[in-house]
Amino acid sequence: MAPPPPKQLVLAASSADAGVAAWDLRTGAEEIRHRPCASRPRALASVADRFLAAAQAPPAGGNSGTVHFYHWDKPQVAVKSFPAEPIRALLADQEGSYLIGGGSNGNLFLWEVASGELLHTWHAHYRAVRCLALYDYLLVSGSEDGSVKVWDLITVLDEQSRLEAQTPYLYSFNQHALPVTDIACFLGAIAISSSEDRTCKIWSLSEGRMLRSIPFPSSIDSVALDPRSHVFYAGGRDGKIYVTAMGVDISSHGGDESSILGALDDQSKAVTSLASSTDGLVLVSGSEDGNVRVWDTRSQQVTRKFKHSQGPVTNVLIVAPKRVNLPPLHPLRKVCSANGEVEPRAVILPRPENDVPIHGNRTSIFMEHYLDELQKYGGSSMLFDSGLNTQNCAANQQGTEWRGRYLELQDLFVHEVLDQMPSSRNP
Amino acid sequence: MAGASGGFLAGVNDPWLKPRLLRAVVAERLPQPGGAELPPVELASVLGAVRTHGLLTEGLPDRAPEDPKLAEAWRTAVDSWVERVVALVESDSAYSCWLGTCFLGVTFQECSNERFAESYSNWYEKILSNLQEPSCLQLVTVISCTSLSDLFVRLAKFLNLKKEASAFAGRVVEPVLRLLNENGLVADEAIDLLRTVIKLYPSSVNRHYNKVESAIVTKVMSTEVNIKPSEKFARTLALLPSIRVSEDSWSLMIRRILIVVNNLLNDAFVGLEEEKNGHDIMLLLVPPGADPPPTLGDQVRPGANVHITKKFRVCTVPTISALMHCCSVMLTSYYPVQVNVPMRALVALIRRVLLVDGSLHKKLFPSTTSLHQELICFELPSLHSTFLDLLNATIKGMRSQLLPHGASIIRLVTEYFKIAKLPTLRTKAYSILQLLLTSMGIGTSLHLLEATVSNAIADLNDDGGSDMTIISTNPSKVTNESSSKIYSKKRKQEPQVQNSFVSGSEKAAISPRKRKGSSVQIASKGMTPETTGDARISTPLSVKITALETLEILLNVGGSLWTDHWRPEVDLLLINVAMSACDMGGSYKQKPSTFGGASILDLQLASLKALLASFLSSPYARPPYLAKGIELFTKGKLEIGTKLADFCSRALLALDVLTHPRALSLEKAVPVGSGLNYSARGKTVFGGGTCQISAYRDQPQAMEVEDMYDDWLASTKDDEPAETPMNGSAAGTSKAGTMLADGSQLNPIAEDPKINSLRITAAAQDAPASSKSDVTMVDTAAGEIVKPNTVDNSSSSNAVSAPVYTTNSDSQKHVIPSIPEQRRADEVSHLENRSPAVDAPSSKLGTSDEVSDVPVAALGFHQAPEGRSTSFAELFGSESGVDSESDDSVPDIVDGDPDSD
Repeated sequence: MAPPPPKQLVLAASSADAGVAAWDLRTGAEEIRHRPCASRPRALASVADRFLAAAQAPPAGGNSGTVHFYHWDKPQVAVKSFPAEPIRALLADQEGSYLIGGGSNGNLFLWEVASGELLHTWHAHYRAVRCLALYDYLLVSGSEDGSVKVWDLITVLDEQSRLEAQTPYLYSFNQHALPVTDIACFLGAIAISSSEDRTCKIWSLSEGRMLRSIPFPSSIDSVALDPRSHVFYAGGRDGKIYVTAMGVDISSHGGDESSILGALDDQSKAVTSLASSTDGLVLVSGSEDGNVRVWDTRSQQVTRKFKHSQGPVTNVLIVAPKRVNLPPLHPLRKVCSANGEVEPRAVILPRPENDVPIHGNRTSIFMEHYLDELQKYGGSSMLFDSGLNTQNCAANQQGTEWRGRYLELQDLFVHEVLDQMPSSRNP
Repeated sequence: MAGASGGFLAGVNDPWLKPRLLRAVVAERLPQPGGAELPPVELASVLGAVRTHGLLTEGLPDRAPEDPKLAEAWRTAVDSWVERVVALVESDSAYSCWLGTCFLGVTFQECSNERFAESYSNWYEKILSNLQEPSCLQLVTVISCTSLSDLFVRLAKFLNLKKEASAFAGRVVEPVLRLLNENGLVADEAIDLLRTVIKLYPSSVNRHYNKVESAIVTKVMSTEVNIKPSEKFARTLALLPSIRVSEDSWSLMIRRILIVVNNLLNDAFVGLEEEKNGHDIMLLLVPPGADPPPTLGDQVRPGANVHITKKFRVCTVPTISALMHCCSVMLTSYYPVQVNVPMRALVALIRRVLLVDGSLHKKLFPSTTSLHQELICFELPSLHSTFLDLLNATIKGMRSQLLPHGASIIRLVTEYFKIAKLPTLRTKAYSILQLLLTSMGIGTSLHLLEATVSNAIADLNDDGGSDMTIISTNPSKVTNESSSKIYSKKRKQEPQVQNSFVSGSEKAAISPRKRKGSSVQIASKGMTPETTGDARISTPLSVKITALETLEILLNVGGSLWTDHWRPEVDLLLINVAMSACDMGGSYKQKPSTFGGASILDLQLASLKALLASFLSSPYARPPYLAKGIELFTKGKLEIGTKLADFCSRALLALDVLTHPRALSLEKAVPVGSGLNYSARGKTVFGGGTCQISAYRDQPQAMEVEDMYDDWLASTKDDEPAETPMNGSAAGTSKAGTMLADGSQLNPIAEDPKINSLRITAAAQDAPASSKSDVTMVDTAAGEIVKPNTVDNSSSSNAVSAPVYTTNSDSQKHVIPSIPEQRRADEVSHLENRSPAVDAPSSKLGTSDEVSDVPVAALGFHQAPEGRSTSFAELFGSESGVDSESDDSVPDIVDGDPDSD
């Protein structure tokens, strides 16, 4: 019997304080609602499916940031953190080692999940960071000022590399005229950004340039990729979800219009967020009308509809929660610790898969070896009288001999290298 | 049933066979207790019979009808086997006891679950009494340890017996600790048993924790342990934290180990590094104000009584390597709770060791003697190797958490490559590059690009590029002679170009076509005379193979990154290495390789893998050299039954998408700018090999020319041959040749470059018209080369583009009025340094432009500062060699050309 497939949850959060709702994707039952939570778009992140993190929209007029952590099976907030500024966009890396936050003043924050340490913070954009995406360790950030920047986190995290780099960012793209609303990355170092300027743009992260720009009939608030990478979905303000080809069909010689293959339409209000399942068969959309729709991408029909709240749904996610033994969560720090005082906490998580099994069967293997040896030395008759020790000695001697040879060899090479070096200079 | 009463069996699968066989074995072949010794062959056959036929399993086939008689017969047979074996164990005779224990061990694995559960405690006592008896023969002790660990492994599968098993395990510990102090073989098996026990029943060892730890640490730090067993001890030491599972016990253990190693290094590296290095690491391990952890094995004083000259070799280094091995194991194996790793101390320690290159530090210490330095240099390779392993394990264990330390590790590895000259160390350094690339992805390749490419090129280049193809075959001799003939001929014709320096260097570059490796090395090492032919030092195969693997991974991870700077060079290198590796198969096979058993076959496989990666990750829709590559894969596929053939057929499958592009929508994501050049070139037959690379430099216009791209695609579909000129420059020459000659020469694959050039020349005579168009193509290509180069690096552009101008200005000056005067001056000065072999034919034959262009196109992209001169010389040499061949084979053209005077 194959184990049952892991339970998949559809999570949704709203900008109104209606909590994070979780529905079972298969049964459609509401599992749990984590409260309180009121999130801006792109501010809900599942940390390697181990727990849930949500940056909170600041109360009206307030200028303080809050990030909530929730355990999967407890409705209340597990840990509250208070970053230096309100976090607009929140993202976790694939292994759940880091949380990256984009602030409303254009700063980026990189926290280590295990310790809560703020590893680095830096000014990234002139205005608020609206969305984030990761490709390996390239961070792509999109801002309200319309710029998209690509950061190499290895450089960002290392002081010396930062000094050596010409620009703090790897690339900076300014082709978007209006705020960037969402970014998705895919295989082959390709990123797609959507913007209020009614375009989606496809970027090559390795070449650092725009590959295409696709105009849409309305502002696009959200993009999601089909895992097979041949189409992506763009959720528009007009309530339609445009199915868009990543490339252009060669057979049609029309303009870029042709890259929009179709639209999923359920007469809803603006589509604010999208999530695609790993098998590409299910697409989940959140809408301003407070509903969450589950689409079958093959039939392009709505298969389920969840009512979240009256307020607009801002975030949807599909997750398969891993209920593992979590070490206690640490709140995210507000400021970087003074240089070198606190070591970034590298941890090894328990991962059974890297366990080395102990093999049985050793006696027979041992015996086979032994009997082989005996046969080589011509029978066992002497072995148990006095021969035993000679046998051992032989093995020992062999060992010493091999070591000796190894050292000789090494010596030889050292000399060879030493000899070569002057000879190459003065032939 | 037939077999029941001793009659005939139904066949080999008749279940009755087994009890009967077993009865026969027990009755006739097993000795009685105290009986005479059996010859080993006989024992081996008994063992074989028991295991192959499963005589002890008592397992009836699933669908066989229930047969109580059979089950009963089998049960009694096994009973009698067990009875005899136990009797043997209990015997006074050492031999019988040994034999009995052996077969009892076999019984542990083979017998049925019921039987095992029933009698394991009985068996355990029997063996344990063997162990506890101090007078027991060593051989018996050894086999007792082995069979006990088999017993525990089997017992661990019975979850209901956990409590008893744990108690048994606890009782074993003390006798085993005593055995640890015995000589090699016994201690070896004893430590294995101890490891099994700790792994399976950690809690049972809890009581003895301190004793176990000090016994193991003493062993690890003692002098007489050999390398291999001490690794076993180290692995057991790594298991100790799992006896008392807590976050702290793990971190404490690793910190204690690092402190010991750091202190050992303090003594060793006196005078060879900055004095405060060790102190800094201590600060990381023991923060100021904190209590230092108890010293690991404080009662042990390694090597106290060993003479100073031996001490370092016999104790310090083996101890360090065993302890570091222990750390590696701890970092990479499973631990039940989340633990903290002292990453900074770890990285600092690795850095400390790897950056010691044996040179003296500025400040001399009185204790530093030349003897001390010599001793350390002697052991440095093995120390480095140990710490490279540790670095490897760190990267594996830390996974994404490496990120904050990523940059410093990358710097360390890059620096280390300058120190690593020994093959084993270089191989390990490469494997670290590979790990870094795969673990951290495209971001790392930004940082590692330069180091990887320059080192790999240096390692792979030493035996040349395409000219390697005809190594040590007869034709090469002819080539050699002919090229020197040509050379002397040219000397007559163009005396003004001659000076002694040029002649020396060019000889080295042109003539020794059979001694590729040496020629290139000579060229790179400052133009030594060509007498070094046989004393060539080439990079060992193992290093080349890892270099190729590293390039493959780099291409996979970041193949499309900053392609202008390195791809052309790397692509060219890979096709050349692959071609030479495949062609040389025969010549290399005779001599066995010296390192690690890596053979030329492995090199072939690695080079083809890298080549495939270069094709698949190519930023261009049609990678250069594709045709040549497909040829190699097709050839490789014929080596049926080898890994090579397996891989080649997979490679061809993977390339299928490239060669016959489907109308996939993602197609658009490739740089559309290339379309322009393709469609333009599709019409000029000759342009194929030459201006391809340069064409791609012009990418900013990418987005505007989508239609052109479509055109090209369409034309490809209709007209397959149109794509041939796009395949590669070096390879492309041969293609162009076949295209031109006439329709009958459709075989696109020419084995010998000589033939290719022949065809080209012949074709040139036939098709003067196409040569015209070619010249204009070259011209535009030259223009394109100049533009970026002047921006990037003017000095290199001069050197690089000079040949192009020369070829053009000699014969076709009127075609290129746009070239500034100053550049012309440059090219004149370059003329003096240039091979006559290149410009002489080009001035004679318009068509040969395209041939001499090849190095230019390839060289235009040498941006990596290191390793450039090598490849320049090599390319130059090789390509000019092609020219000279063509001249030689068609002498009438040379003579009849008026322009050369």
